[in-house]
Amino acid sequence: MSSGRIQVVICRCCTESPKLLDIAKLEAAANDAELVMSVKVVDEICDGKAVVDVAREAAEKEIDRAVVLACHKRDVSPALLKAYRRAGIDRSMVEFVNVREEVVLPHVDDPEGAQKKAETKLKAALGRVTMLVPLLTETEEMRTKNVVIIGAGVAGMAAAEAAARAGAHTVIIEKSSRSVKAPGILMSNTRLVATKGTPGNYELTIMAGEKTEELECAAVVVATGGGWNSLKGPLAKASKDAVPLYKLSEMLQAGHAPKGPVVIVDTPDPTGKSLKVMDFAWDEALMTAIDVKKKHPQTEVFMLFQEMRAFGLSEITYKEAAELGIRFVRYDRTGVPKVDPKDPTKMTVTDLAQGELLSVRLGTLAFAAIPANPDNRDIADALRIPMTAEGGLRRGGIQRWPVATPRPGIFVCGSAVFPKSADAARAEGEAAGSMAAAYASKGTVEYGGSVAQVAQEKCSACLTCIRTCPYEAPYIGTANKVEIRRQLCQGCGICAGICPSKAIELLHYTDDQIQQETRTMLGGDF
Amino acid sequence: MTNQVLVVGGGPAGLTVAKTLVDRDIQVVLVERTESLGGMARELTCKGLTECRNCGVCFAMDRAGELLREPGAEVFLLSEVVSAQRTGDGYKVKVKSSPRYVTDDCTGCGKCVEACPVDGKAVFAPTGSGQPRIHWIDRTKCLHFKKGKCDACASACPTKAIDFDDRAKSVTRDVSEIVYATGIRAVDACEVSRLGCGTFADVVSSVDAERILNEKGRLVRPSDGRPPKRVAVLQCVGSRSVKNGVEYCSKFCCKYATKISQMMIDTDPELNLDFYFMDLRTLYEPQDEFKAWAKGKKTVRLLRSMPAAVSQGPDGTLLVRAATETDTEVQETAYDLVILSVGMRPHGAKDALAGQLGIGADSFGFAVADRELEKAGVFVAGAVSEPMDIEEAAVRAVATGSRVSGRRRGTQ
Repeated sequence: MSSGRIQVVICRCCTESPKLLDIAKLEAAANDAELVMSVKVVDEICDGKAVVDVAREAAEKEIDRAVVLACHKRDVSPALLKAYRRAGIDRSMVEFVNVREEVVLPHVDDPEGAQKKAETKLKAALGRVTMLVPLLTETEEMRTKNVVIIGAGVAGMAAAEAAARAGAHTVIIEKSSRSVKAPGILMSNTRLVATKGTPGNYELTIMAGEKTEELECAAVVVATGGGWNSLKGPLAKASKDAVPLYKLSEMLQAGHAPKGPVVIVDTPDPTGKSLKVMDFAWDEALMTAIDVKKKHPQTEVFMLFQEMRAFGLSEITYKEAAELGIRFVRYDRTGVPKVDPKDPTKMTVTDLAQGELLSVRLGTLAFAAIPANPDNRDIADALRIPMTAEGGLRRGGIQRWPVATPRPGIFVCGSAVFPKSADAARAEGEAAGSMAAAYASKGTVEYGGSVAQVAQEKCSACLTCIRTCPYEAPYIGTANKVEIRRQLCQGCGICAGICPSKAIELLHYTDDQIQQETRTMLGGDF
Repeated sequence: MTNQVLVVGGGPAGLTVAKTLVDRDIQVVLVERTESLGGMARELTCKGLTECRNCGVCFAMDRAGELLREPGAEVFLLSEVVSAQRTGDGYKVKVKSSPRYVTDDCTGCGKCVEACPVDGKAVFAPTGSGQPRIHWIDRTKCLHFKKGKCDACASACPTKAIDFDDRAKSVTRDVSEIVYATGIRAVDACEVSRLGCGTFADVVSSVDAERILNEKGRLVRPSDGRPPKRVAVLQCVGSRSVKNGVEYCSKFCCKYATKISQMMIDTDPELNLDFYFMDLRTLYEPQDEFKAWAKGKKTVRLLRSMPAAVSQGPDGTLLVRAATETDTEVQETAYDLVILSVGMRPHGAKDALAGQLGIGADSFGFAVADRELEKAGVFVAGAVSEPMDIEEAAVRAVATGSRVSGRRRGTQ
């Protein structure tokens, strides 16, 4: 079933940089292969002109698929794929061989092995590329321009303002009874329960008080913040009056004098056994400590921490705090702060700088730790977005845009991801709000590509895929067989692997295509 | 009213603002002082060998490549904004471009550099992985301009891309908003004289280390080109130092130094690596994560100590002199390579253009622009305003972009 007209592109920059590979041999191998109509050796494929040149030849020779030997896809693909598209070659018909990271770097001391590996990989890619079929994409209209923002804190409000400024209809849902001035609609005492629908047309089920409601939206911004109120641990247990840091700061702002000495400890569970902490609010802790000292100079202030993470300009605040006479005590897990069980106003800790056991009187005890928000679990489940080991919401990686998640149209910001200062949270909120609005204003969504496909004659409707899919893409269709909602499928391939009847295949990674590639890799020309 | 926004600076922040605006159908004029786009990210390396470590370098470089192909973006390289005059609701800006003497036909093959007879060369490839991949000639060094004869590069060029008749150009543009994103400069590691920078070849700054990694794919000693067996990484070189005038923490150094360390161990699991630090401030990463990683590697030690001096032992190895963590004694440890993690200084906040636009500078030289200035159409983005890493610069740049486009909606 081999067919097609193949172009092979060899980038000299990656293959030759340590003078490791024999390009002429690779070029000859490519020229000798079946169906290869054009072989281009370029100096640097990341260079715009090389791209134009390659695409021009592809168009001239009526190429319909290509193999590119270069560095990682992220370095070369956007420009090249765009140029190929203009020449009528779909991105799914282009095979990349990462010569830099898979051949050159691991084999710098072994030119022979590197050459052999490069040739094998070229052959395997040539075999695979003949099996490829173009992937189809479809578009769907968005039904609303709504952007839903979860959380009316610092990040959430900034997101709402930015989204509204960009012309989106904003709806903020906030679990507390907090009432704030916000653009668009603010629904307090409201929680997200479940999500249906597809990217660009999400249907959220929310609980407003006791009432369940449905809410349609194009995009969602999650700004649930950190979990200040879930501070649990031995220190919190031993000292009944301990408060989270923000309570101390509120108290100061209201004009109340805290009982001295004031002790700010990074976490109520210094051994980290029962409470997972993402970070501690270094910025706010230093500012609150300074606030105490400035308003009540006679009050002693201690800060107990494992790592003083005064990032950036907070270093200046740190210095100011030290100059004001705030005592910083670094400890580690071998000498954690403990409250005396007989005297709850006495705390002991091993001060590592002095190398001695320090005894502190407790007037006010505050914790600066920010654990992950316990609501994150429900929100991540409802929106089907991943979480970090510490319980924060996970972003899609910086290669995507910074506040995006793996699900299109869902953005995360602020301390729901990782604790950060109010200023940084505000900027992230603004970025997320603006990106959500931009997504919503597109009006249509594109989907398809490498998604699962069911051979209905083989499907026995056993429901295994339906139970396994993390994205709820498979469902039982009208013919009592499984069908795939292409808008939801993320192309993870779990269903294809688990289907007992081998009825599901992941397009672009079908058994035939993978087998063809592995056979060549293993050295046999079957 | 004009539909263009001027972005000053082609680093991660400037590029992200520009791309954000172009995506929202706003035309951008981007002015970059050097010959290519990417800013500091050009010389930094991808720190993922076995997995992505979210360093953000590829994010910045992808934006650079994208922006050059955007019809909505006009990019001026080797250029400076010489003046910006307020006119009604916007600004009339004058952009002066120096000649590059190499046309767009350049394929970046580097034959001109090989042919150039000048000691230290007069024709250069773009910095690091900077975009576009077009070479440029430094007029002050080139024999063609100094003596009026040499054309070695022109005859070596396979695409006839050398153009000695290239002239400086001056253009004016009417823009409605200006985004000032001139970025940072790394602190010169040699400012801290006690650590052997400049004296010993194998004491390198972290920027040099990244440059080597970016070019060669693995870290080698500059002296003999061989991979090191024992490496020391020293944090806070030039940062948190009153003496250097960099009293703040540069914020990103712990992040990149830990990631480079992890990458070095991934490349060579046998490598002995000592990590000297004052406080471990891995940005937006749990404080125990790097410690836990180091604990799991037998050849990695974390040492809470600021080394006092680097000297050379009789066998040529580098000796790092540092107090032990308890301050009770002083030890000297031998290494093949010492990496000095340098911090940053803001760049350009005190330039004449910043003054013309009403941008102030704080005592450290960081640019200060308040919301009033934003109302007048002048925005500051990126690390010129405060220390930040690429990811935060990108996040804040998207936010800035949203305020720029918000202002336009308000005024139109």
